[in-house]
Amino acid sequence: MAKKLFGVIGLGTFGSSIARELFKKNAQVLAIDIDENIVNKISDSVTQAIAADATDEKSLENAGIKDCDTVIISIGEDIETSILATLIVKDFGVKNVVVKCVSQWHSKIAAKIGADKVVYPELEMAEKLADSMVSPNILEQIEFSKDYNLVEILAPKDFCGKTIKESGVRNKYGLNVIAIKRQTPFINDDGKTDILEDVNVAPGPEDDIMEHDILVVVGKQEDIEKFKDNN
Amino acid sequence: MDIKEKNKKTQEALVQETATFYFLNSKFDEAIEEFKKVLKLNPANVEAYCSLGLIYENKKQAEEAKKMYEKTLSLDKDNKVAKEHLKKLIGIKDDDKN
Repeated sequence: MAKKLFGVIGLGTFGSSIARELFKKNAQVLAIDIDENIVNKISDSVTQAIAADATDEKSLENAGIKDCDTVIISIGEDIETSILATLIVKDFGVKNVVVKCVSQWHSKIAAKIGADKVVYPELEMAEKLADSMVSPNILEQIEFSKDYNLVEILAPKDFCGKTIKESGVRNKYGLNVIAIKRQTPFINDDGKTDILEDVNVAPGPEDDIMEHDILVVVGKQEDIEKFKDNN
Repeated sequence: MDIKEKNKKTQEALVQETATFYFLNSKFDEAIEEFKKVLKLNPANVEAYCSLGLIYENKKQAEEAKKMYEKTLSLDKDNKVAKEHLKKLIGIKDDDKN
């Protein structure tokens, strides 16, 4: 199967990180920025890096953006440039265009002119950080759908020493434990104390919950809230 | 080394062994007490600071854990365990080309 070709326009922190990650994952990556220094810096970490103006149709065409399966437009700071680039790339007929947005208006305009997906890394990170600050026991939260979430939660004290069944996590709260992360102390090869993380994937109802375990739980947002309030 | 100093060292080793025993058995509250005793006997015991860091990290007491790793690194700047865990705690990612 031919490798997918990704175009990344705008090589700030987000753009250059996504370009490098895609290349590491064995994809072909065409990276574009107007700044030649930035382009030179990334040239060894992508398939091809080109200095071009994202608002110049001819430059983008010459760079080969038309041939990309997916183009990621990560020019967050300059909304006008981001919108023009989105318009040009969609006009080229690129099937999948992802636009990094900095505001709700930016995303609405991007969607109107044909962006297939909009992402807000800064807003999403801010929401996560705020969640973790308000609920320190919630270590990670991923939205599955509008109603369902997956959360990593520190095992409540009441659960410790009980099995999953005995804890009532399912009967009482309607949540499913899909994994248990446990920190196991050990002595490493240098003879020093260290801690290793073990993961019990798909634990059974008779598996024990121990103090300091992290439970990976799936359930309805309202049930997760109820669980958080009671523990 | 005079006899008093020698006794102190032996006592330090014994308490450290007890502390490590509790640590390895996940009896973290007991381990904290014992590692603190080790530090009273020898305030420069790197292993005790680092182990306390690991325990506090495990108990999600990030501030305390950070202090312990920083103390470890002030005594042993190349301590691999403290370096790695401190990075993880703060959220620093290793990246080559940035």
